Amino acid sequence: MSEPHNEQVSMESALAEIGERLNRGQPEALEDAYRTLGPLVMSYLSRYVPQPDIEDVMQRVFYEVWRVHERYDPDQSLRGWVLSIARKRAIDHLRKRRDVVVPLDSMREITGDDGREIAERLVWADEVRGALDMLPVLQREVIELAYFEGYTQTEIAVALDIPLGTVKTRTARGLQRMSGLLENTRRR
Amino acid sequence: MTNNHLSDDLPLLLTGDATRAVVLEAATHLRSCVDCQQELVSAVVAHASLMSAHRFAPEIVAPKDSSDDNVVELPPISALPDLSKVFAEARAEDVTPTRVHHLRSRRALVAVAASAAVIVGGGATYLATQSDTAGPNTRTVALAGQSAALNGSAVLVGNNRMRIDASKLPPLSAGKQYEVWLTDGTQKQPVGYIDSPDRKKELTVPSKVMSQYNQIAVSVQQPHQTEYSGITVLRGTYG
Repeated sequence: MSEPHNEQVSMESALAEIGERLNRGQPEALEDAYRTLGPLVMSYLSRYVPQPDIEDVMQRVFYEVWRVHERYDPDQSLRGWVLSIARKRAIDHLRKRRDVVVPLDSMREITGDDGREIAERLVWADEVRGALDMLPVLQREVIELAYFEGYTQTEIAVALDIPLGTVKTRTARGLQRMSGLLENTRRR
Repeated sequence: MTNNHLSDDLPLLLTGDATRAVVLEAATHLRSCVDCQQELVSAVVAHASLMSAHRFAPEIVAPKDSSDDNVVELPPISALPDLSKVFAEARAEDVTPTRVHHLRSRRALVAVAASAAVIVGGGATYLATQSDTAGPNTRTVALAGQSAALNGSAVLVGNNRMRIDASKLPPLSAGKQYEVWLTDGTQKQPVGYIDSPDRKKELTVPSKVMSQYNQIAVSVQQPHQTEYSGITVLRGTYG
């Protein structure tokens, strides 16, 4: 199994460092958390909260992140902690919206296990993106074409004008390295 | 294949590219080869992660943002809602020892006699003509990017120099440049371009200017664009 890449360590270290500073009550850490995790929270909220209300809920989420920063345990995932707050604030928001019809399925989904599962999947996706970004560009390129664009390995070889064997090698090495990166992330 | 390790063929087994013959031969080999079993486990972890991420959160794992070959155009931080009021409240409440130290440091910076500055190229670059008296103390400021993988850093040397490391940012297409700014959240002051291929740059900025702001930002500038583009890709607080 490939060793975790040093940069992955620094990537997760950056998040851990933000979390530690947040726990200590440094306001700059809140801004750093927002810049780093804002897109993830936006993505989660956009599944449940009407678009015009997202900014309002985002404000509530990050205000609460600040208000309860002492409760954050730096040994836990900062992504997961922030998304758990986002889930609660989204539920509050949907319950308060008595003036409009909120789809019952949305309420059931976010308040039940599905809401937690989706939050967990988004955290995972963010970790996967982070691991991909740590791969050498040649390995990342073939993996993205295969998994996100639906190319076969033969098609990748044609598209990039490289031998099929090279595509196989880059893909295999990229997956091995990704596995190490992802497992290292989960151990933190 | 039975006697050869699978290695490069493992992804084929997972993505559905393998022929029936390859699958059956691989199965025979895998039953007796511990090394390949271990590699398969690793490949499965990565494969399952990629499949799950793309199925449930394509906007996160595979954002559509490539416009040029090998060049990633970053979405602007300004695409996120403006939470400056929340941040201001957080700052107003902050009474941590670190913050007190920062405030004192900032006052000390203001007290240092300013060096004369020559503004070159419409204010884009500062050249200090006189060194400040501060000692060789350094500190590192984290510059947060769109994701943890796209962060940078600035090493502040004394009170008039900074070494920007933006090497994790992708190269820009022809004509575009990364530009470094000092800002207090409202006003912005350009202090130089990151024009080296490794996206690292040492800049000299008068201590008086440094003390007037408290954040460092790096933006993506269009060709010949002199005003702040609004596309901030790195930001960190130093004061």
